[in-house]
Amino acid sequence: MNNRKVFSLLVLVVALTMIATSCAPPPAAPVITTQIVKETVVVPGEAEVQIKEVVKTVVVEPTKASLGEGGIKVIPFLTNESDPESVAVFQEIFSEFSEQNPDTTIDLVIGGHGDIGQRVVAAASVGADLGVITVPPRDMQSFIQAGYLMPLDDVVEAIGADQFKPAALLRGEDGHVYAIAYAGGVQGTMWAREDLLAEAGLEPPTTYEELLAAAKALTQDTDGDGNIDIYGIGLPVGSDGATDARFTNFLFQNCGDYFDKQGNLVFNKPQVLEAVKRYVELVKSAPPDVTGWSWFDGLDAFLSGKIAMHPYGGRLGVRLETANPDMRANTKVIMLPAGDKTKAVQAGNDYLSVFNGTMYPEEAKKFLEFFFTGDRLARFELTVPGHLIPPTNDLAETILNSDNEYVTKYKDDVQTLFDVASSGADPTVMMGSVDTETCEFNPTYNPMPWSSEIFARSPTIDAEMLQRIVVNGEDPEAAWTWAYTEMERIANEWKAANPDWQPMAP
Amino acid sequence: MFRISLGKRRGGLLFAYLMLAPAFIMLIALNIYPFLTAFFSSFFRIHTITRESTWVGLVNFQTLLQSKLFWQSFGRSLIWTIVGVSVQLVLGIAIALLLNQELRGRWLARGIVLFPYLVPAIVATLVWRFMFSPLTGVINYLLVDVLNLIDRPIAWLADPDTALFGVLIVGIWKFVPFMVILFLARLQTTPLELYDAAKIDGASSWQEFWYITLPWLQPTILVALLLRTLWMFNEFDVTYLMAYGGPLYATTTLPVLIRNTAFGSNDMGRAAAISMLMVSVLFAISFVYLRYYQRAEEQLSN
Repeated sequence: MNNRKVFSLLVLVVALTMIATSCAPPPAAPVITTQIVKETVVVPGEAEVQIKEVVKTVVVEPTKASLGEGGIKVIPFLTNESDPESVAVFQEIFSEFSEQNPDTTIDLVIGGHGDIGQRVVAAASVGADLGVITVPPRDMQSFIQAGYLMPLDDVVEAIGADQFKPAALLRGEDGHVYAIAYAGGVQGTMWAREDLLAEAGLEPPTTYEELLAAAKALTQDTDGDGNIDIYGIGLPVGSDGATDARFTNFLFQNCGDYFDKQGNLVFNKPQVLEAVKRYVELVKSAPPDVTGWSWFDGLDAFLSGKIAMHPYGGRLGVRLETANPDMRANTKVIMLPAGDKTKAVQAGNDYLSVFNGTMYPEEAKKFLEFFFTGDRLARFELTVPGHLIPPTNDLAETILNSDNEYVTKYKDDVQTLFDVASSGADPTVMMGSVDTETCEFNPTYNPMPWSSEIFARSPTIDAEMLQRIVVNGEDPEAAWTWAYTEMERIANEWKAANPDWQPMAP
Repeated sequence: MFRISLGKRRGGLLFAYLMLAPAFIMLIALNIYPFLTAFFSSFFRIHTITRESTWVGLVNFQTLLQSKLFWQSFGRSLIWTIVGVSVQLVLGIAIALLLNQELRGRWLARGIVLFPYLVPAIVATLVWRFMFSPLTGVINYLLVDVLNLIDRPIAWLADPDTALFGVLIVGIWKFVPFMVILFLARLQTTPLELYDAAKIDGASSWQEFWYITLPWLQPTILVALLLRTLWMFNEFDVTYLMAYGGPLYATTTLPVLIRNTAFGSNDMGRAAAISMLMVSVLFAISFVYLRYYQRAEEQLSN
């Protein structure tokens, strides 16, 4: 064999080795962490020995040789919290954890707001490790069903379950906790320019009629050139969750809901049409591009002084304080008055879970316990004060009484945000919060298993319904009929595929 | 003697196959396996999250071919591709011709013209979204206040009549540099004696372009058209990030529809079926282009 061939063969071996290495599974293949095993149980007082099937957590530690460089265990932490302050606090907490656990490092991975679910699905398909993950509530039941998440009962036991608000601990049908809320978000609050309201001789609105009147009055051509310079309200009619999160407030406050506690469609009740009409009427006082708005477009419009009122969570106030403190001083947050039948708004939680295929499940859970104890969660919530709603009442008190500069300066606004959030429900995990017969608001943990198909599609069903009216000029009743027919079809298809399903609510 | 040569030939063949192995393995892993997975998935109903699958045969294709949304998205993909590639082609040739002139600072201009191609799509779309805004955007400011071309701001991305046009502008802006690079490289290899001969014969600038430059560019034009057609038809990030497929599907092209079907409706099987239909269209387009390319090469060599 000549030298050229020998060299070529060497190159070939190197190339094949590289391919083999890149295709190989990660070191220490993911372990099955929960197993159903048969166990011999001696029942006290009975002579017979029973063999029972019990769920056991089995953890197989990887060998030292399979660990990363220097024997360090790396746990990815996938989140969509991308505010620079939040990222800085995360990094601080990760360092503190590593100081106490020198063999473990937490690796921050930031995902887009809407693509965390896709990442989880992709990672599960290829066996990648995701470690600790932020999970969208609407996908939670599908994730549990698919086995992507690990039971966290031991973590909850360690940090204390009693202190959490309703739906802050997400359970599967098997009763195990799979996700723990670290922060909530409220969509039923509205920021209003008090200076502009005062100029128009108006008070911050407390009823829908006052809101409509204010939105009309504040839509103004200030320089007299025939073009509107400031719009009364920024209300999105875009394709994504930013629209349906705002619409849900109108739905709830007009005694409507999507499904009742048993999973029967109630979106076809006449009061829902009233909610639709109210939303559409307000959009007439909104900028012309709201049909393309997502989450941050309204915030930007408010910050640039182009809209006078905008339903948004606490982040708007924090951003405004940085961008324009004078405008912030003239801005107040109130509960969005979208109807008078019941006091209820859209408010949901963001959750942390542990990916079932993670390489170091015990360390991941240990980190969760670390994150939820001490002052760490409070420090995180204070990175965007008032926007990140604490999952426990004690923590809310801690934040309100903290010496944080923003909280001290705008304590009333932060209190309002927390108060409004306490009248909130997320329809994806609190199905049937509003009794459409009595208008009673009674949110309980009751996941809507088909919520992903209703709220994750693009456009979401209620966003498409609103766009049909606003963009296409379709009759509201026709668009609403299309929407509830579509919701019913999706729910019926899911129920047909899962005939044994029973709602979690009693 | 014969045995030795046969043995040598076999050894040589084995060696050749061994050398081909890495490329072949990569081809299987990165092209053939995903393609076959998508192909087989298109015959199943697959829930994206739970991965539960049911054999449905041709139902996904039947449903798609009867779906108004699919045909509308297909139509938008054609508009996006044909208009986008045509404008990119014309602008690409024009800018390449300009940059091929002996002008001062052309090296700087050549660098600047590449800029849009280098900017990540997420950054470019964010900036363009701001620029298109009817509230604070510079485009409306110029059209209304500076040039007085229109009376009131246009909601470019929020109006179904203008949304695809707005997205097209960004697509053209972003991908023209690719055309410019290709054409400029080709122009720099043009035999200058052809122009000298044309000048002696009294040819005008237009005749020089029409009878020398354009035929010389023809094979490159066909390659550029083929590549840009494939890429534009498959383009996802600019169309999705600019308008998320809306308002009301006005910018939903086939790749956006695939994303929405797979991750919005959790129907991976139907999303795979759309991708298979897209592949069929692209195969047909590629076939036509490649035939023209062969002809152009033959004409040029003659």
